[in-house]
Amino acid sequence: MKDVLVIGGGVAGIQAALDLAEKGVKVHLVERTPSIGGRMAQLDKTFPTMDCSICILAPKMADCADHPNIIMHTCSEVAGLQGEAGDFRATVLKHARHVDASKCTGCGKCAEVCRLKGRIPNEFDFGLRKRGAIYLPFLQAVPRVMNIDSKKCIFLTKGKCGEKQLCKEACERGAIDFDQKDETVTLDVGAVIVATGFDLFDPSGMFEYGYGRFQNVRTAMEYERLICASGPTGGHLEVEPTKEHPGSMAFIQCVGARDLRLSPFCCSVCCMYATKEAVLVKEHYPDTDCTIFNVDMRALGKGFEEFVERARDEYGVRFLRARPGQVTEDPATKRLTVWYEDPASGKVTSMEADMVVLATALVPGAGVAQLAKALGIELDESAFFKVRDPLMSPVESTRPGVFIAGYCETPKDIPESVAQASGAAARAFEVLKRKGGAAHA
Amino acid sequence: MSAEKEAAVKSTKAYYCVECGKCTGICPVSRGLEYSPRRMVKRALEDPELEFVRDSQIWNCLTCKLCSGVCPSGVDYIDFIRIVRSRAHAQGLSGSCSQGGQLSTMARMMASDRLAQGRNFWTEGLEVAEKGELMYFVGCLPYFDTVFEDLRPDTLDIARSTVKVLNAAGIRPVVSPAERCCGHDLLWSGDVESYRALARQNIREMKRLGVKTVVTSCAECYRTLSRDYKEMGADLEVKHISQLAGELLDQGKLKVKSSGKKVTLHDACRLGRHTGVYDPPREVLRKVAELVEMPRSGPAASCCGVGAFLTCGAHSKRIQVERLIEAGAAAPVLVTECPKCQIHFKCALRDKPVPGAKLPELEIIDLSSFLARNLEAGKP
Amino acid sequence: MPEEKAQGAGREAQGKEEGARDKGVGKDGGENPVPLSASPLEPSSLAPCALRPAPCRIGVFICHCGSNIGGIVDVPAVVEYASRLKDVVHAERNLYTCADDGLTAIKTAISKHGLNRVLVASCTPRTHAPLFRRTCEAAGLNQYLFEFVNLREHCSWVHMREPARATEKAKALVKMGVARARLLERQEEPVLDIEPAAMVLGGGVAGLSAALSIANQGFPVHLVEREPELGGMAARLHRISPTYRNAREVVGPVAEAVSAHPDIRLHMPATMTDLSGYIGNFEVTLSTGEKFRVGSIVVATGADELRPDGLYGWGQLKNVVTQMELERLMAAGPFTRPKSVVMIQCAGSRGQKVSYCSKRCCFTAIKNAILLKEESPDTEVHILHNEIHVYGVAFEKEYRRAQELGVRFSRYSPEKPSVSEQNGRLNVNFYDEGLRRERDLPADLVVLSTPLVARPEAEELSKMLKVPLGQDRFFFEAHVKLRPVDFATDGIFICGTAKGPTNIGECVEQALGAASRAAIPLAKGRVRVEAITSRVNTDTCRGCGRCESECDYHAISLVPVNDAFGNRLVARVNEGLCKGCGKCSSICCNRSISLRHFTTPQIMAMVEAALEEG
Repeated sequence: MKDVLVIGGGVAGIQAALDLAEKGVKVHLVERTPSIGGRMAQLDKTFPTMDCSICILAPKMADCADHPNIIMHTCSEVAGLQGEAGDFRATVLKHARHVDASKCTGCGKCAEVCRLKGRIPNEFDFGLRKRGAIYLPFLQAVPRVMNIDSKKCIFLTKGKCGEKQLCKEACERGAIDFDQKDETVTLDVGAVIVATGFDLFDPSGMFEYGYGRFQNVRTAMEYERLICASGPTGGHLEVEPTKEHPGSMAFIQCVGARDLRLSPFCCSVCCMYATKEAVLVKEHYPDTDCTIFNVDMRALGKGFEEFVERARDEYGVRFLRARPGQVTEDPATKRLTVWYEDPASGKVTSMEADMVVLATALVPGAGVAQLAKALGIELDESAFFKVRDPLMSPVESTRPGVFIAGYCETPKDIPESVAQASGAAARAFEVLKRKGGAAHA
Repeated sequence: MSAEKEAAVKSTKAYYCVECGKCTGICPVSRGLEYSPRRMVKRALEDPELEFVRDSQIWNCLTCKLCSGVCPSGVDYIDFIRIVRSRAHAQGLSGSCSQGGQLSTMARMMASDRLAQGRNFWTEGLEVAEKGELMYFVGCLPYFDTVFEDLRPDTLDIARSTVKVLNAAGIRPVVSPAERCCGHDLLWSGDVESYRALARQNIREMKRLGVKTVVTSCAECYRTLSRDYKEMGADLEVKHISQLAGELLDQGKLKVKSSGKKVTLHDACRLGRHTGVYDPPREVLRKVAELVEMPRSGPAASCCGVGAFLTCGAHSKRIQVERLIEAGAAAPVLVTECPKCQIHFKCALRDKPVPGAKLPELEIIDLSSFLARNLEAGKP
Repeated sequence: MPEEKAQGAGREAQGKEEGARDKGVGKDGGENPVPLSASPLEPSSLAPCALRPAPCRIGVFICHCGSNIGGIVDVPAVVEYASRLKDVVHAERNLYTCADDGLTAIKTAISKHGLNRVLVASCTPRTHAPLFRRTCEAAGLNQYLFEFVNLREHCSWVHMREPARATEKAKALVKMGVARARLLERQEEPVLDIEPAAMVLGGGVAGLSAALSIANQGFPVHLVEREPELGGMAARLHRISPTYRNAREVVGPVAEAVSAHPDIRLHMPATMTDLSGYIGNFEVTLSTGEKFRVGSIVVATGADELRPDGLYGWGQLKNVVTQMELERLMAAGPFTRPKSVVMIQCAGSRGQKVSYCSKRCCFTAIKNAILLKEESPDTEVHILHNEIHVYGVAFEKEYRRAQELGVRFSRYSPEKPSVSEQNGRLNVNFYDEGLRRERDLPADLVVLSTPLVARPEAEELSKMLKVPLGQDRFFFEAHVKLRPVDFATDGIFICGTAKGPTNIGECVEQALGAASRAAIPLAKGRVRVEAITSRVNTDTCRGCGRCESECDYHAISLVPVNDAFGNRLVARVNEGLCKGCGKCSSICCNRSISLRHFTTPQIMAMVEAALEEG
């Protein structure tokens, strides 16, 4: 049986890879960043069960790393796809990590001595934590191999790093390899599964909410890192400049989403994650006031409506049906004021908040057009990967043998991504079986 | 009627409203009066005969466009209100104009073909042309000094300064004695017919003079000439003085010196949100002063509190006071780019002070005037 | 994968043979000194491992879990404490024991210190036990010689505000774990052969898609549908959002492909009347009398539309219909278009007859409103809603399209609308939140957007399958986040609206997902099952039968034997069915049944350790 190529190492890609690997199929899991885990690894907890996100994902990540049938290609991108269903040749560009994965244990001694230590915004924490040029993307990274940021590393950019390369000296296993080059490999695969997830909308351009200008206005993903015990503040929410925990918080929904000028679609997950985020505040600081501003509370899943009720009735989270028009800041205290039309009185009302969390749109990844071109598949008008028929062929891309799973197809939550990923794995397995002459079309 | 409504709903995309209330949340009027843009839209949508135009609330809107600037459904609310007002006007209704409506009366008088204008009494000592390709559209400046005499707005200084700046760059602009009001206020208070009459006359006059480019020192003239006259068939290049001055500075034709002053800039709704001109006034100002931005600037800028000289009241005052305090915290000089903003702010500053409330000591000056005062000496 | 014991070990074991697999002796020193026939109460089984030939060598790994544990519990102090406990030869702490470096540390320590027991004190075994067990296996240590202590859920999280006392409790928990670890025994996981065929229950879009995929993956499928034709609820719709294709055209091709597939056997109309067995070997009996064996089962039995009895005049007032009834009306061909149509959302849901949001009613109403408007632009269509729940790209776009076409949306709040008849015309009264006033809308047709509800038959089916239903009586999956199409019971999978309301595209995604999962055991040919099952001491079993009647999984039966005690009945455990819940061992009148890996001595040792000073 041929191998299968899975593009994207988030929860969808991981699930697809595991399903196939369990059936004895060799899977190439290609991930653009240095670690698999995707967005789910960045979340603190998941709704509505309040499972610790990384805690339920980490075992699956480790399963991928351990599985004899899964070959992970991190720091890699797919550059082209020739052939046809059942008989593809994929070109994979593997970027140099400049660290020998077979030698590195991820001990981190190199990172301790890097001259740029603590100077480069860490992608995983949205810059809320700083890293050096050599770094581990996050604590639970898989594979646990250090990575050198070749765009920042002094030696790689300038050809010289002080008197000597401190990282190389610190590494006891000789794992650092500045001579490592990008390489291109060709993989023979029978089917391809695309599960590249989403990017985050940058709300800096929306003047009304002051993101980027007001320190205490955060995006929801930043908030996930801030409230996370393994995040940059150890799970303590801190308000600038007092560093005290917030007495009052406002969550603003649909920032950039359901917005005909930006992303017209509904991201399908924000209502629930905001509810979860507010509950998390209440769990950390029961006295903190939490208000969620939204227009339609889309609690559309099993136990979701009940979860929202619990948030309201048990935790005391306030839900207000309004999109705030404006957030203003007192320049002296950095306290924020949220202006909104009060649904009860119909009048404009304001509330003071120590922190405002924006549920920013989850948008198609920046590189989707390029990837679509490389794979010879189409995008829809919102730049999600197009499926052949959203009703009966919801995992088939426009090219036979290439399947789609997860948010990159259309907005969806984790369970739907996981189900669809298994679905894509089923279709991929069908292709392999068909080529083997074992089954019927 | 319902066809007219349908057209209005379609052209303004009012049907996309999802009743989120974001417009109300940012509307400066709503913070004083009980007013909700989205509710007006909803009422229109649910009202086949547009009976609701009889509600005086329709005159409260400043048409400052903050709401449309944030509307996730892209509803063009100010255009919607403009259409609603024209419908109200057709039913003989009108808003309560400030100054007893004298400005709109004057504008309406100008709309008559038979009324001759004689406007150029102020151009003494300045280089102006009778005919040519570049025209300076003066607008209502000659009238304001009379109407608002008590405020001493010295709006004609804006006109003189604009010509001075142009002269300094070697330009002799056409200034027409037959120019009429651009019609902005009439258009926005529902009197579309009179507006059109004014527009037709101005366009005819410009054509007669061979004008290809028009420069204005007023944000409202700028919007009306550049946007609305286009619909009336005008083929003109329209520039705000900040745009033209910027070009002249870049080309080295205009030389200025630094005033050494710290200033802040109030974006006019018509120049900013209506037409997207944010950077040119800033670039020009930075050449003559240290520009300090207010927290609400650019697309987020507050309104000066009155639009089209309609319904100036307590809510307007509140908006103005807030803005003046905001400006005072930023700089001792507030630069405006629209003479009306200046009038409204000066008005609020002049009012009897509220006990306990402290208004800043603030110099309010128009961009043209400020520029003219900082021209490099030696050039005429 | 070590599958040397591939002979379907568990199934046939009985009598004294029950304990046979406990005999394994490994290089890891996991010898079992307890004679198989011995009563669990025998003193030798309580003796600490120090008395045994191979001394216990326990390694303790304490996880900081970032700051989840480390931020509250003084982890170095617990490590120091653990290292002083008897039989502990190695103790260390890890920032994340579950991360690659933590796992490597375990493996290294096993070989370096010759560990024959491993204890990890970290988070919950629910998510992490398999990982640590696998790690032990990879280092050559039988995975059942691994002990898990939960310092996070059981300690740091619940005692966040008392770090000092939390540290003391953590020490006690570790001590208890060590006490149990001493008594752990190696266990083998029986390997079962799989019948390489599947059964799909339900012939709607989900069932059809699942069946077709499993068959195309190379495995025979039995498709069981209770109606005489395929297609389910979708086939009864008019047009389907968001593509607006005719329902027959959407469902027809897949139904035909299923009918024509040589590897799919249709049983129709038929229902399942009996089920026995377990993953790999389910024995199915149908209402038609047919019997067959399958290795895995996909449940795709769908849902019903709520009958809005007593709501909004449905059934009493003329021209009050449900969306489904409207679809049938529209499908039947042109009907006299009403002048004014009012649709009422959440009719019966979100606080009326059911509490949940049915997810599909908003886009269904919007679709039907669009169809009405497109066919008859002068028809006024008003959708009254409390919130519009269209999601994703396509449905949100349809919402906008409906707005463009002039469909009116009004938000009722807080009460739902009421429908009455006035002068021969319907009237809908509600409080319009947008206009902030009460309104009356005259209507020629009122359409109720009713939710999907669980089928009443689900109750019986869930009992037959031994899988749970949720509080809304829909089938309940193994884990709402990461196992959306699995049941907790191995070998049975769930998809479509039987799990909860959803749209057709998602039904198919889930169906394919279930097809993928259901085909895994079939593709493997064999599965390993949990070793933690009950064992019967046949020497002491009195054959009372309590265990047989109490077992929720029908895993125990009393079988006749003729031995030294004469002709008698003894309990026999079917390990394929046994879930290791321990109920039998706790109700057994003389402790003749014990649960592997959770023996009384092990638990008593923990209790004693907990009560002991220091």
